[in-house]
Amino acid sequence: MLSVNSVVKKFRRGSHVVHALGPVDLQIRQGEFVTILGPSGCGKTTLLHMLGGFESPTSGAVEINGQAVTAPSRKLGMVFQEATLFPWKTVLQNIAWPIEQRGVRRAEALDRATEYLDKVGLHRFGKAYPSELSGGMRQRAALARTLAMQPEVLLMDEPFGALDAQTREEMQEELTRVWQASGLTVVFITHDIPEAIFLGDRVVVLGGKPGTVMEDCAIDLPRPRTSATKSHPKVLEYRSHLWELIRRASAA
Amino acid sequence: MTSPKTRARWCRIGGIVLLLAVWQCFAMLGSTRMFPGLDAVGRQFVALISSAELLDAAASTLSKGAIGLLIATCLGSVVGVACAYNRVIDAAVHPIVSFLYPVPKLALYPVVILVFGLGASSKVVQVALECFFPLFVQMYAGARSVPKNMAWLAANNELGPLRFATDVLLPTMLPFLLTGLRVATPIMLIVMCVTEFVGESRGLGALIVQYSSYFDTASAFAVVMFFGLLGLAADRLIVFARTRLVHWERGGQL
Amino acid sequence: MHKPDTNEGTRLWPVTLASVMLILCAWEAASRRAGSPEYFLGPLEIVGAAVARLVHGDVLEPAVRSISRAFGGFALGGALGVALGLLSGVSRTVRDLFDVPQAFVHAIPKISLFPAVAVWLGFTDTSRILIIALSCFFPAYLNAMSGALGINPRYLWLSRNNEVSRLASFFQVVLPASLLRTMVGLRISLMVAFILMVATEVVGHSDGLGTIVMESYQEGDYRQMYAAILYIALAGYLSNLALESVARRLCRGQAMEFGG
Repeated sequence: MLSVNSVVKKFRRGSHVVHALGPVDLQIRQGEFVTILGPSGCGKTTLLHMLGGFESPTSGAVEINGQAVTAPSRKLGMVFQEATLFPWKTVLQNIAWPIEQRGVRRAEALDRATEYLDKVGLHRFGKAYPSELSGGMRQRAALARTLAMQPEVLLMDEPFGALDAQTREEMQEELTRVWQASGLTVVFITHDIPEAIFLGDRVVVLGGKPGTVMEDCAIDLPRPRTSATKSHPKVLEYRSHLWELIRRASAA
Repeated sequence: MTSPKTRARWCRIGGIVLLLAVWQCFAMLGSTRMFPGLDAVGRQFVALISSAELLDAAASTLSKGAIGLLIATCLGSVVGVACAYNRVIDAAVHPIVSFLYPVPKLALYPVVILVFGLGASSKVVQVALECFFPLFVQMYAGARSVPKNMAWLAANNELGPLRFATDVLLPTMLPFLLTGLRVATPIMLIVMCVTEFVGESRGLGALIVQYSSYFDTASAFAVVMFFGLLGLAADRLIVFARTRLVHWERGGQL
Repeated sequence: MHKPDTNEGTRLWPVTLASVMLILCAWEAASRRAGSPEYFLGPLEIVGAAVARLVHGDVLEPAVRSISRAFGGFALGGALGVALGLLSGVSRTVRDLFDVPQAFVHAIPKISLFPAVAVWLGFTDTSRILIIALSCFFPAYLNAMSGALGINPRYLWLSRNNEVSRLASFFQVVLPASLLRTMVGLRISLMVAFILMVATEVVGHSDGLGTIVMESYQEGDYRQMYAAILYIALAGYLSNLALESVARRLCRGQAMEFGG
C-alpha cells in the first residue's frame, strides 16, 4: 500500500552536501504496524517526513496505493513528538478541528469528536485545556485528533519519547489497543528497542551513514498484544538481536 | 521586622507620599503661578471635568488617535505577515523599515501637513506613520513564531491560506498584537499631543498650549494629569484584554 | 506551504538593492513630472540642497545645538534610568518605593509637560533637556530593572560566597549580567531622545534643526525644509548605529535582539 522506492535524501549544509539517507526501499502493506528503529541521526525522522509529503526526496519516490506522495494530505496523518495541540482550544475542540476542516459544521464536529475522545480514554477531559493535562494525556489527545482526520496511514514520530517510563508503557498498550480496533496502517519511529518489538509487526532497522535499511525483522508475537506479551520468551531473542544491530548501526 | 508584604505596601505608599511631597516643595519654592501647588491643580482638574471641556478635548484626541492606530495595525499586520512568509518581500521591505525605525518621523510632520492639510487627516496620518513601526515588528515576530509542527499540522489537514490565517495565525499572533498595541498606544498619545501643539487644533494638546499661553499652569497641569490617566487606563485595558483573550498563557511577560 | 522559511537574507541582498533603487527612481520621476506640487521634491534635489547648506556653513551650528540637547537629555535620563533601574532590580525596597510614581509619570506623555514647564523655565535649553531627560529615563529604567530582575540568583550567591562587598557586587556582577537588556533600553531611549528633540523644537522659539524645519515650512522654503529633515534623519540613524556598535562590543557573546 505504501511504497518507498530508492529514496535518497541529501541536504545542503553551508557549502557542502550531506548525504543523509538512502537509498531506502520499503514496502508496507495495508493494516501493518511497522516500527522503524535506529540510533539518533540515522535519518528515520526524515524518512517519516518524506512518507508524509512534508519533505521531498532528492531522488526516488514515495507512493501510496500507486499514487505519488508529493505534498501533505489527510491520507497520511502525522503524530508529532510534541503533542502540538492548539493551546487556545479545549481538548474536544482540538479533536473536532480536523473534522471541521472536512466541511462538517461545528456542532456536529464536536459531537463526532467525543467518539474519538472516548477511544483514547479521555472522556472526562473534553473541556480541559492542553496546559491542564499531563504529557501522556496530551499525546492521547493528539492521537485522537489525528484519528479524527480519518487517515489511511498513521505516521508517528517518537510520540512517547518525552514521557516518563511508566506513562510510556501505558501509552504503548493504549496505542496497540486503539490500533487493533481501527485497522489502520501505522509507521512508528522510535529508538527504544522494547517499544519497537512490543508494537510492531515488523521492525525495520535503519543505520549507517548515510542511513539505509540494515534489516527488516519480522516480529512473530501473538496479537493482540497486551502487557502479558512483554514476558513472552521470544521478546528476549528479538531484543538481543536488535541490540546487536543497533550497536553496529551506531558504530558505522 | 514586619512581613515582606506589609513592608512592600508601606514602601509603595511611601513612594507616592514622597512624590507628592517633592511636588509641593517645588510649588512652594517658586511662585505658585509658575509652578502650581497640588491643591490648585486638583481644583482645576475638577473644574475642567465638570465643564466637559476636558472630555470634549479628550474625545477629539482619542478619536483621531484611534483611527491612526487602526490604520497602523492593519498595515503593520499585512506587511509583517507578508515579510514573515515571503523571503523576497522580506528582503525588499524589511531593511527599509529597519532603516527608517530610528529616524524621528516627527520631523516629517510638515510634509504630512503639506500633503494632507492642517486638519484631522494629517494627525491621523502622522499617528499611523509612527505607530506602524512597533506594530510591524511585533506582527512580524508573531507570524514567525508559529511552531513548525503547527504549520505542518495545518498542511496535514490540507488547510487553505484563509483557514490557516483564521485558525492558526490569528490566535498565535494575538499576544504579539497586544504587545504591539501596548507599545504603540503611548506613541499615539505623544504624536497626538505634539500635532495638537501646532496649528489651529482641538484636543488635549491644544488645551495645554492654550492654558500655558494664559500662564494658567494649574489648568495646564490638570490636563497633563488627565493625559496621564488616559495613558494608564489604556495600558491597564490592554493588560486586562490580554488575560482574557490570550487565556491560554498564564504568567506570561508582556 | 505555510511555513516561514529560515532567513537566508545574505543571498537576497540584490532584491533589497533593487527595491531601494526602484523607490528612489520612482520618487525622482514623480517629482519631475509636470504638475507635481511645489513642495514635492525629489531625492536628488534634496541631497543637493543639503550639501549646499553644508557648504554654506549654516547647518553645522543648529545641528550641533539640536544634537547636543538630544544627547544631553539622553545622557541625563539614560544614566539615571539605568542606575535606578538596576537598583530597583536588586532591591525590593527601592522597587516598591518607585513603583507607583514611575508608573504614573510614565503614563504621561512627557511632551505634554513641555508648555507648562516652559512657563516656569522658559523655552530654553534647560527646559528642553529636562523634558528629553524625563522621557529617556523610562525606557532605560524599565529595561535595566528587567535586566537586573532576570539575573540568575546563583551569580549573586557566588559573589556572597566569595565575600564580595555589596557595592563591588553591583559593579562586578549586577551591571554585566543586566547589560543586554540595559542596552536594549538605552537604544530605545536614544530614539526617544531624538523624537523629543524634534518635538520640543516645534513649540516656542529655538535654534535647532527642528525649528529650521518648521520655519522653512512656514516661509515656503521647501529646499531648506527637506535639507533640515534629512539632517535630522541622518543624525538619528547615525547615532543609533553608533550605539548599536557600542552595544555589540559590550555584549559580545550574547544574542542581541531589537524588540522595538
